[in-house]
Amino acid sequence: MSMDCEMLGAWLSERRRGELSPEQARTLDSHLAGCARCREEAPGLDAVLAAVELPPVSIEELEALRDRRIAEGPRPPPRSRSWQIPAVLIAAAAAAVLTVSIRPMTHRRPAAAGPVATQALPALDAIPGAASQELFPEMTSESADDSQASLEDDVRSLEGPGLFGNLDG
Amino acid sequence: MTQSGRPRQTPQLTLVGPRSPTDEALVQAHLDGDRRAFGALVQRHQRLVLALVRRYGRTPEESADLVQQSFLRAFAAAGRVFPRMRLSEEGAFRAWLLRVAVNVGKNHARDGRRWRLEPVEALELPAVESAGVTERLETEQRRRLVRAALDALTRRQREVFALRVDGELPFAEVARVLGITENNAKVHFHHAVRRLRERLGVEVEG
Repeated sequence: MSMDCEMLGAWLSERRRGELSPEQARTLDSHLAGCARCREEAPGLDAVLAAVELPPVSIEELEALRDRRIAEGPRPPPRSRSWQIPAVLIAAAAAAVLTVSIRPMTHRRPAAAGPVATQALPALDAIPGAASQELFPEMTSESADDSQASLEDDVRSLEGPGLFGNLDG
Repeated sequence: MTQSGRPRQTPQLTLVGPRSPTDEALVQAHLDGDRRAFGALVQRHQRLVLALVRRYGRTPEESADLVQQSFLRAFAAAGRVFPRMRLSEEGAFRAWLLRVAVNVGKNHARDGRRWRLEPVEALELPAVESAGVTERLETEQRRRLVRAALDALTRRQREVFALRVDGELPFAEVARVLGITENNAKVHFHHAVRRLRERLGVEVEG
């Protein structure tokens, strides 16, 4: 298969956008006339190109972009922000449990403090997920690591030979 | 930064006008502590970044999120990548940003499948059916199928496809962004489209 056939999809894309010069358009037509395989394949590829096109950017998309005020400067990435609420809730839950656990200690005689304290300690563990973040499974450290790994992935994948050359070299 | 830890005093760049600075000059200004440089780069490129990620956003707000993520990710790696980037070469930052954006879109689609329970019922037509609702559901279903088909492409095919179809860049520009030849970009594109046809089973009318 010649290089011409290997670029058929690209030529068709350029034709759809009106990017071919008259001479290039004639070259494509001439190729299609002489290559049965490309002639047979072209309508299907053209149909795919039409099917995958997105509608023009909408007013709503532009407004949402404007409202985001990205240009105002770097902010913590979403995964950092998403930690703030669960962290507060976890802290509040832990504080509530500690209060419940400690209060009996303050109202009992010293002799009773020992056993109560030892009973209170398991109380923290008894709350499902209070300490292990099971209450927020999607916010586990594993997912945070995953996000970090994803960023690292981005960097690694984009550092290959390319415009920047081998960045490690 | 100076040894005392304070940002070095640098001449402020003129960010607009007929002789506005290159991306690379703005990146350098950002690294030197000029806070306006980031905003100038966002203003300059956010439309194109939106074009690259909006296929993966289910709402305009989600698309805006992805644009923001793209810039944040691009700049999160600033300390590691930019100093080694050939900033003397015009287009280096834009190429980096656009490739990050393509990756952010792809990763968002994958994360979505992993964490969200897909509302399968939502794909079925509601009891009270209207042409608008049907059309919208069909559009969403088609977009979902295309996203799944795109996920099956190789990284390079997906990059070329996104830059060409979603970013509407000429192949010469696609090639420049990816650091490959124009012919190479066209061959990757051709194979991407062929593969999409196999996956999508697009019917040809007539």
